[in-house]
Amino acid sequence: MFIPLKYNIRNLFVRRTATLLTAFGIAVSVAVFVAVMALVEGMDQTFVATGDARNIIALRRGAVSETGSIIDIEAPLIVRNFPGIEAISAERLVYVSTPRLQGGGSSNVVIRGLNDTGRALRPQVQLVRGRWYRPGTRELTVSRSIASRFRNCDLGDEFPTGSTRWKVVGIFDAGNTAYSSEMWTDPDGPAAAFQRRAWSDIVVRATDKAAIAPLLHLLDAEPRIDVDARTEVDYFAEQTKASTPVRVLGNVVAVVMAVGSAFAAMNTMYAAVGARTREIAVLRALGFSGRAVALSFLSEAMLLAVVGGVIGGLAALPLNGLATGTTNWFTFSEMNFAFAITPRLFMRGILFAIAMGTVGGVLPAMRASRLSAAAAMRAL
Amino acid sequence: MAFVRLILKNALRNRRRTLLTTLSVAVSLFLLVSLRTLITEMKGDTLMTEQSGRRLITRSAVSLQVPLPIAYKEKLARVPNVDRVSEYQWIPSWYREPNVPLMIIACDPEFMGTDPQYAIPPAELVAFKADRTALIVPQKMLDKYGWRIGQRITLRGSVFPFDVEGTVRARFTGPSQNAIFCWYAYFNELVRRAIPDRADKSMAFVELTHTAADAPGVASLIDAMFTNSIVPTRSESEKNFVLGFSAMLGNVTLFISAIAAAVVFAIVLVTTNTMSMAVRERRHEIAVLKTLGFRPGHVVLLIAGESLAISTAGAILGIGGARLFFRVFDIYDLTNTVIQHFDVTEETMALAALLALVMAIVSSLVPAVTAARTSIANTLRDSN
Repeated sequence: MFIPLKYNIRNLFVRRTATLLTAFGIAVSVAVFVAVMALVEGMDQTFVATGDARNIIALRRGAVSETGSIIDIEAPLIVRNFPGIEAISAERLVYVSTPRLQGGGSSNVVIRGLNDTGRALRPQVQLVRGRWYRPGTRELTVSRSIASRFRNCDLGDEFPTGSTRWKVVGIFDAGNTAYSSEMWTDPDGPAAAFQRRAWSDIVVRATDKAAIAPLLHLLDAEPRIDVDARTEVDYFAEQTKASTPVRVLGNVVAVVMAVGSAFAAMNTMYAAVGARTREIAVLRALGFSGRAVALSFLSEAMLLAVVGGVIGGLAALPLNGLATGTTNWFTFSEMNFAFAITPRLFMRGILFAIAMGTVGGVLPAMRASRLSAAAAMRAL
Repeated sequence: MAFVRLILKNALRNRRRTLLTTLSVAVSLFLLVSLRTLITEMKGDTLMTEQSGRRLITRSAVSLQVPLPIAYKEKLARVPNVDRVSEYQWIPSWYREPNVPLMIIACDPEFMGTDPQYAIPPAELVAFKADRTALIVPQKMLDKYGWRIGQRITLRGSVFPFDVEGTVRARFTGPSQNAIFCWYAYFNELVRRAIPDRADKSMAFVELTHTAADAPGVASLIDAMFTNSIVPTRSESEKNFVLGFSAMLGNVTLFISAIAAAVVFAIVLVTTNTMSMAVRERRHEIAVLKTLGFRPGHVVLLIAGESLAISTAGAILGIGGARLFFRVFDIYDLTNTVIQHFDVTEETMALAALLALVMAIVSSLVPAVTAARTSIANTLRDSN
């Protein structure tokens, strides 16, 4: 026989000061956990959204990112003749130290030099204002979030890099992808302005899915070029490691805060058991087993935690969609992303709260179950 | 004195609750101290030496990806008040584990050993300067990888398309121990073989000025000198160079401070809850105390004092614990050399202690005032 949950709900109402204070304590831990993980989620989502399953990306063997890769100028001429290729784009990436508009400091923003074929490989990128850069000129088309967050990057601005002055002629929208942290121009642009003749990477679109594996093998095995080929999906999946430091920080902070909250929940539940000694005795006298009493107190603790979890999750919710930026240490350049609170993350927050409630509730519940009816009655 | 004893007696009446609250406060203060230390360490002050004030770093004004021509070195050496110049070139690498990055810095071997706060055994320094392929390794890294002096090691390049094969000739100790040093001349040879385009260039140069007071003037002189060159420069103190990397992370300080504020709020909630539970349980005896002539002010003091006692215990455990923890566990190994130094300073401890005091008073406020205000008759009439 179980004690009805209604009994616990009513008790939480009766002791509302303690209930609320404890629930808020749990809520704060959950809010911090959800907020930090929303940052991680936002970074990861950006990477996952960027990769195209049919695109292959070839970097210098051992290179971890497009910006840290140097490929021989002749390599595309060799790769071009491989079977199974629908389109090929050799690109040059350079990062430029650029001052932020707000918050001070500078960050490295990527200028990607690519031609029409390269643009066609990224259908996620759409021009929203102005026009695309023309080949052979010092023109830039800039992502919307870079334009709004960095100095000299908006439509019509002159963007200086040393002795070269670039003209911003258009703004593109790249949705929630890594390209939304870039400025685009013709491949010859970076070559001239930064004395950089070598390519950074080669992006290849396979004719169909079946062509991917043989192409990867060909690229890796070709002795005239020293590249490491992988699908774009794999490349960007690898970069989700960029969020590891934040993830570690978030987990450490959340666990430490949870320990504090669990102690507080334990206090509240011990007090609840203490105040209801007579009730427990009555319950036992009515025939409820010790186990039923323990279960009842444990579910009360968990219920309390769920309330806290929901409050915490809701408190973090306004962060959802908030745009921010940090440096991706793989590419050593700025990455823009938005905090993302997914339903799954929200649920993880509540599960996290339930864990706190359970840890805090177990010992008091066991104590409640050990009170014998007679002794409890006598105590009063 | 009797009053203090009464407070302590009260605190120890419900030992379990006092213990749990103390632990909760301690854990939260531990976290708070760690977060504040993270912020202070990000400023990089602890990695600086006395000589840092004399060191300038010159790099391309546009991007670290645009290297400076080696011809700049001689021009820099001729700038008034510049004592020495060295190339400064990062070579991102790894050793055996591709996931654990390791940095090599190619420099002028004559620059090594000029900072007295970095100790190098003299015989080893001579050996380093005599061998073109020599490496000088931080003591901590030497221990971490188990290298011996004289051992030949291969460090795999993760950006440059070559590996650096060298002999460990010397070791050094000092505040910053996250990079291995090699000869720039050796690096340049490797580059010339692999990417001839990139040869005879360096990512940056380090200049040592005669005095710290010379540094700002020298920096602006250098940048003015190269304004119209192929690669315009940006020169700044070593400290600002390091700060620039923290700034790249974005508004981390704000983010960490927000977390810290949440932790403070959580502590206040926990202590308030404990104190109001204590007051609720003792409302009869508080009424009795008042009957005996204790004034409302006494009651407030009694409760605030108890909250303070709990917070003090929590502060000693949490703040002292954090200091001890980061002394015992080496953050250098825990984070794979990413965070080199994590020292809980006295200032941080004092700040946390002050915060604990304020939080103790804030959280006892509502329960204490409630207790002081409750009328004796009402409390005593209510038998339950």
